[in-house]
Amino acid sequence: MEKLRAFAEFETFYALFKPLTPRGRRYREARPFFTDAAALKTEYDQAAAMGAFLAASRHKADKLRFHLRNIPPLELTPEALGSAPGLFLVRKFLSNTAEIFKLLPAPLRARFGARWASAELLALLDKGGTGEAFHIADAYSPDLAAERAAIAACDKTLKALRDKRLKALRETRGLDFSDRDFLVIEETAAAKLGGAPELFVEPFDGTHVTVKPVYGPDYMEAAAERDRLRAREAELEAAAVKRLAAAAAAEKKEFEAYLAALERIDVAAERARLAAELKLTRPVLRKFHSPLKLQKARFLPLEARLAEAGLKYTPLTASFSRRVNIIYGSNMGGKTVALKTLAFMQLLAQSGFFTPAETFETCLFDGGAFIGGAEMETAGGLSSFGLEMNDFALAHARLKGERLLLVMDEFARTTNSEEAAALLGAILEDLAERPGACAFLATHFSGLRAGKAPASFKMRGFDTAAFNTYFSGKPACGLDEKLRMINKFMRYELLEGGEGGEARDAIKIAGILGVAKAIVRRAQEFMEEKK
Amino acid sequence: MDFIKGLRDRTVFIVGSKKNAGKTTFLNYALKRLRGATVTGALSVGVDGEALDQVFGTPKPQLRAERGDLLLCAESALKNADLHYEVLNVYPFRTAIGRPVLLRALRPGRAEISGPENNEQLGEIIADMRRHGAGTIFVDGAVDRITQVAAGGKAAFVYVARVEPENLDSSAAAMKLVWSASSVPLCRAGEKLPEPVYIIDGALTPGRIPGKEARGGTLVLEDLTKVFLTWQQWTDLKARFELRFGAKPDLAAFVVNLVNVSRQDFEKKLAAPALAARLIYNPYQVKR
Repeated sequence: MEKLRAFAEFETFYALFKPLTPRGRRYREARPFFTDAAALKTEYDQAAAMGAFLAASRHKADKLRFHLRNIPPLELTPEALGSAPGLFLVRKFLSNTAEIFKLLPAPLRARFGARWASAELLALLDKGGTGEAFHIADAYSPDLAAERAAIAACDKTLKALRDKRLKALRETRGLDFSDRDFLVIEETAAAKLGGAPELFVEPFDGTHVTVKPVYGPDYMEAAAERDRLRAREAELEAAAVKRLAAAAAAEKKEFEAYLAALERIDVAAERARLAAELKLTRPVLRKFHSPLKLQKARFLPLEARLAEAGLKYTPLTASFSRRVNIIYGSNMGGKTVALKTLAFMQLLAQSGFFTPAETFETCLFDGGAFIGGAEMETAGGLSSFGLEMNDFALAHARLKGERLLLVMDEFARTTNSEEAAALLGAILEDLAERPGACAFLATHFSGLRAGKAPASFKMRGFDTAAFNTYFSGKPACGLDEKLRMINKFMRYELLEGGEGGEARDAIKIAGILGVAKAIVRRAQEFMEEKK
Repeated sequence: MDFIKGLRDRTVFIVGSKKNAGKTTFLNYALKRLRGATVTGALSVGVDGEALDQVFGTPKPQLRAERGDLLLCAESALKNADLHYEVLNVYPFRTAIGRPVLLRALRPGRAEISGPENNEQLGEIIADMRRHGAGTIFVDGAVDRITQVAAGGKAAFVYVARVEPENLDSSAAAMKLVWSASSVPLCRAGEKLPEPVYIIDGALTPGRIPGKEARGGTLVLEDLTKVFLTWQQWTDLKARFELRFGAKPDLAAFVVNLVNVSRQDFEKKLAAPALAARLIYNPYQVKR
């Protein structure tokens, strides 16, 4: 499956899929591939319903995204709940969840299983703060308020004693501790202080000492009292945290339901956003095996690249009614792009997304495999040909019990054409006999022997007449311009039939790409002689 | 002008010449001076969370928070904190000492500040502190975290050095390098630079300096925190190339804590009167 995803450049699309909640992101990482029609229908229904809701109100759409983004990761273990930060997260989770549920109309809430049942718990946690903040408030324990008032009084006493001492030191000793807890002074100056009891002196270096104020017994007594009060406050806070944590833990089931509902909402909202932004439409799912029909299907990665280069993109329109299909065509004629478009659409559809096409009718597969492009890699000591055969053998074995989408691009291109054509013919015949196989094979070999079962298609190819009219008398140009010309005169349309008709564009393309005129001319002569 | 006032409403990185240079002590001083005029925020970067300094085993100074201060503390450090606070955010990234918690002090107390593990997280936390009203934000430690925030345009750094007889030479050389580097201009878009232009991404170490055959042209460096050269190597480099930085936080001040070294001896060692004039000596040291 990974090879199929790579071939279809699925990642360029998937990178745009960015759920906002922690559970949504986890869902994304799991990369679900739906093989059950009912489950996939639910995904589509949810995305469609969410899309309608979001399209109706930009304000509500923004609000939903805001609250989804604010959903924190939630841990419901006793350790995670047993602290103010843990409870802060619970409150943040609940308040954003409540807002999200409130935003959705009742039918949507029902569709996503969004049932709010934690008003009491949220009200309890709201006593600990306004807005985003949360703390163990006095409201959680009548004793806390009294304890904190006593600490505040103590702090006041300490401050008064400190200010008094610092004022005295400033006036009598000329030492200003206003912005400093200690001072560094020369040892000789310190000697003049004469061992003042209101100062604590210790060495700083060989010539300086550190001087700190000594605040006296009253201060020490008040500080000790504060420590005692603070210890009592900590006990009361811990008891309050324990009660709040227990209240949160008691609603574990509800939390789990919220997490599941939020995941569905998040994923559906993100799918709906992509559908709106990329103009995606809902695929039509049929039973296996039904024809695969694409009406103006856009292979988004290529569409974007061509747009960037200022080149025209031709969407794919095709109907594949048989299970085994061969696509013939010129070099650079769009065979591979046709395969990529099909694989891209199928992967999107079975991953729960709408697809970039006016219509896309398809059926569901248990999986998919890509075989080809092996010249790019070798593995485990296998040559590129060996790797291709190995991939095919693995996919072939799966056909015993599974319905597979097989995409084969220029299969066996690295071996001699005679044997490759024979091998391909045999494979196509075999696949036609296997009811679980749905194969698409692109090749530039002509006239494959594959019996009557496979359907043949042909890329329309190079428009020689238009090219000759345009090119006559034009000077040589750079690679960009050459590619532009190929793009301009190549007709990327898939025609039914073809029946192995030979592609005759390779020499023309070679000429456009700068191969010497004499060579091109001679090659054409050879072709004429062969005829 | 009092340089502390110049730090108002900026993100200030307090970087040290070495462990125990006096960064946190300076931070406490700066916080006291700036409170009232602005809401202050504080966090640290680098591995923290031990009661004792990991290198010397000396007690680490804690931060003295006042009501309204914004602090970033590790979740584990809050359990025994002498602080009454409200939680403003809990970040999902885990550090060795638990999740970072952004809090606001509700009354005075002591706290151990903590920090995230990478620049992206640091950027998020600083933005969050500003959203909660922080004017001046102090980041204690780790010079290599400056870059990202420097891009925001409000970053400055204070270089705190503890100079002792045994590190007199190296301290003077390090400060001269920072001083010299801080005067290298920022590379501006569209600026015509002497050719060839060498761009050094990441750390500039002796091995990455273009070979001796390359003379003239411009060397564009990421920022001054990526310069890992000796003073001598740096002066050689300056003689060979026009230099530019891609990002450049302002050098707000050098704070020098002299221990068994006189100012006269230190300034003589620096041999750079312009730099000496910029030094702020131990703000806790007073003459009587």
